[in-house]
Amino acid sequence: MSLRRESTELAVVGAGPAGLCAATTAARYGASVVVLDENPYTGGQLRKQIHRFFGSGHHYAGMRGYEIAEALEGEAREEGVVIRLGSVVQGFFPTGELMVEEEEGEVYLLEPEAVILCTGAVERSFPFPGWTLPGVMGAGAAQTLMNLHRVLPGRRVVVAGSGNVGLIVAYQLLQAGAEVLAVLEVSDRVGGYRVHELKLRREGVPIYLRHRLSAALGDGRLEAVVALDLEGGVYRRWRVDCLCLATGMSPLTELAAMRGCRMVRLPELGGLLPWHDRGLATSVPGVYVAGDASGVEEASVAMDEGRLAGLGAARFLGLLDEDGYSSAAHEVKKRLTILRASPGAEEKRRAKEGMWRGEGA
Amino acid sequence: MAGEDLRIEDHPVLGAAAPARKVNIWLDGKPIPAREGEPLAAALYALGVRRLGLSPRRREPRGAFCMVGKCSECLVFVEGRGSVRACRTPVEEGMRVWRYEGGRPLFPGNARDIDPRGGLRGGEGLG
Repeated sequence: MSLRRESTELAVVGAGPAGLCAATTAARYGASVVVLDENPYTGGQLRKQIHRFFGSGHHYAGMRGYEIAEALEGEAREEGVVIRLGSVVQGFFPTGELMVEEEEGEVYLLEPEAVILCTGAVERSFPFPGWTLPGVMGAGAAQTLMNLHRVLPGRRVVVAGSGNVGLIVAYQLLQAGAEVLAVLEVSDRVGGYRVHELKLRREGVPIYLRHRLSAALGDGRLEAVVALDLEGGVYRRWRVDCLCLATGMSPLTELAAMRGCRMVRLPELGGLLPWHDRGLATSVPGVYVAGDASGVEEASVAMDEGRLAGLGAARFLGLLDEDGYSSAAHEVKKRLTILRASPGAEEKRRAKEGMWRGEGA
Repeated sequence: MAGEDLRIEDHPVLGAAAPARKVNIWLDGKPIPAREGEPLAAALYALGVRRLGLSPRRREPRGAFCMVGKCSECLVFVEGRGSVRACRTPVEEGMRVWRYEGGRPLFPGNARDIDPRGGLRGGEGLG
């Protein structure tokens, strides 16, 4: 059986903030660009974010996540980018073709000259007694249910993890009408930004530091959550119908690995990821990576990484000369340096810099 | 069935829910309400149906966990399609959905009657 074949100059996998910015940037230099995304909507995780973002004008500060998604999609379409939704990239072969499965099950091969992988990240979980009970879910799953599909994940909820995802989802649960009984944090300090923490505290949501999630209990479905107070040595218990796990994310890297990109393990950035240089080029010529797939950071970082990878692809395709690339890339790199100078980003910045210097390879 | 209503009709930021056509689908042979185009997993969760099946070996209750098609905990059997992830399957009017119990959908009768492509041999409705 032979598959239908199609070609394009640039294929971008993933229509989240990194993918849309990468596509728009490359298209501005004249590249023909196809963006593929498995979801029926663009914007990736931005679609589920209902808070206003901070940052600079380059990162759409002051707008809500789903509004930023709309804006980024509009810019890409204006530049003539072709966006194919409901398209799952099942394979990225050593010969350079992408195998794409469309919604109705039809499969074709896309032959691009350059590829930017913006596949995002997946929520990380860890096993504990009761973790498979219905009602226990990823914090991102709760966000998808309530903000995208308008279904409340539970009426009484505990959130495990006080990073930005945990804090934001806890607040969004309140907005959606749920009661948040506790945010649990195993370490001795809140992981996320102070501004998100304070919003929760103002609503009276208790954040329990030094508390380790020990069990989810219930007969057929979640009915209670138990955590161990590591200071006092006592167990605390809450009657709930939903437990949200906000315990970190890992880059989605299957396609890079399949293509033969050299992989590195950087725990600060979420684990295994394709090695890349400062310009987001992987070890395979013409293959770039950007956004959470290159290490889990902020949406603003994803946008600028996408733009930088888009510039790299335009140069690779011969649409941008060395001088043009250097000056345009310099501007984006400056912004990335500023974004990574924020207090919470210190570890991630050092991990990226170590990779660029060739450590841990 | 828990008979809850977890739909968020009004939201302080997102406003009123977008209008959607109300349809009926079938879960384990019983009619339930849903909204056209929403993921099956969301339709079931909205009614408080958190258990989407029993796991193949240990027969433990399982439900939607990632909601983005990565974990496959929400696997259900849809007539005419076979095993699908409920979180990535849009609701269609009249859709017939069966939950799994220990590796088999909850059909009345013999599970060997399942056509691998998702149909039912004999073509009898199971309403």
